[in-house]
Amino acid sequence: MELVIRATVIYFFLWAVARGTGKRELAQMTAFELILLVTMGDLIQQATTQEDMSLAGAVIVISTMTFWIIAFSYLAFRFKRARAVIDGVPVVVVRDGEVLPAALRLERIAEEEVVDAAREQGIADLGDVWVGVLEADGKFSFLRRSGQANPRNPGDERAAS
Amino acid sequence: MAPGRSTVPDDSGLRISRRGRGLRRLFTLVIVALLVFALVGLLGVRTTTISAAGGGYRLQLHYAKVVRPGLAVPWELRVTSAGGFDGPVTLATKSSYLDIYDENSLDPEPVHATQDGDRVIWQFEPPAGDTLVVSFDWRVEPGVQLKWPRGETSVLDEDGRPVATIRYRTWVTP
Repeated sequence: MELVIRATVIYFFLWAVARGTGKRELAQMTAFELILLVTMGDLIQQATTQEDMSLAGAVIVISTMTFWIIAFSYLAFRFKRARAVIDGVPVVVVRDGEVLPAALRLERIAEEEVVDAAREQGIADLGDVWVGVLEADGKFSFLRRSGQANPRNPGDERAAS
Repeated sequence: MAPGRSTVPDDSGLRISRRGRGLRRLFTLVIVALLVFALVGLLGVRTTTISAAGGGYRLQLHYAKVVRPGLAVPWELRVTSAGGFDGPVTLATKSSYLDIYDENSLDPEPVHATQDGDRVIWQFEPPAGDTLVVSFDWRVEPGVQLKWPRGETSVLDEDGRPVATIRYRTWVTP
């Protein structure tokens, strides 16, 4: 009985947190981050709550973290400089079909990773890329030279061929 | 050619999102309120010191007003008698209050302890000075929650009648 009530309270509290923090935070969570979070959650639990196993303690800890998520989200929205610190900035890694080694060194990325990312986006030749960007969330995006079809859309691919 | 099926969302999402803005703001307020409550100790642990006097004794108790299950909390009683104590000091405490705690030890050890109804009666050797300090090393029972027991500790005279009493209450959060 008690466990059901406790689990119910926690479930609805977490649901409110997930809904209340907005779509952005959830959309940014990759599978790796999810695994990392779950693992970290287990590891840091003792450091955070120590011997506190109470419901109130859990609500306090989750509220505190949620507060900081919302605060950082607001800062990133409100101030450009804060956004650069909190979310990072996009970095150009390919320009006019040429990989930029200085940018790759700075971001500790192997050239093969850029090639792999381009292939995953249907780009067979890096020479077709006008600009390749390592986005702030760690994903690559590639802009093709004008006049080229978007290979992500199979219809366009067929139309171009 | 099969008719196209648009993947572009219509404007209803934006309207719903606007409606939800108020709820998100309310949610933020609730989170901030919870943090404020936590910071001021309303969700525990909040300690306080109270005092009472009577029969030539002054009692001062430092205890936890709000606690969370499983946590170690203070309970320190100072019994002061101007001019010192003539003989053993006898204290009585409501045992129903003690039920919420997992007790490790009472310092100093009482020379004599008995149970009398809802009271636990301890007898201590008189201290060297004019103040006897009694403290518990304990923690709140992990399974206890949503309780608000009343505590009451008295100094008893030789006939077992309370001559000075201090009353307190502890709220156990979930």
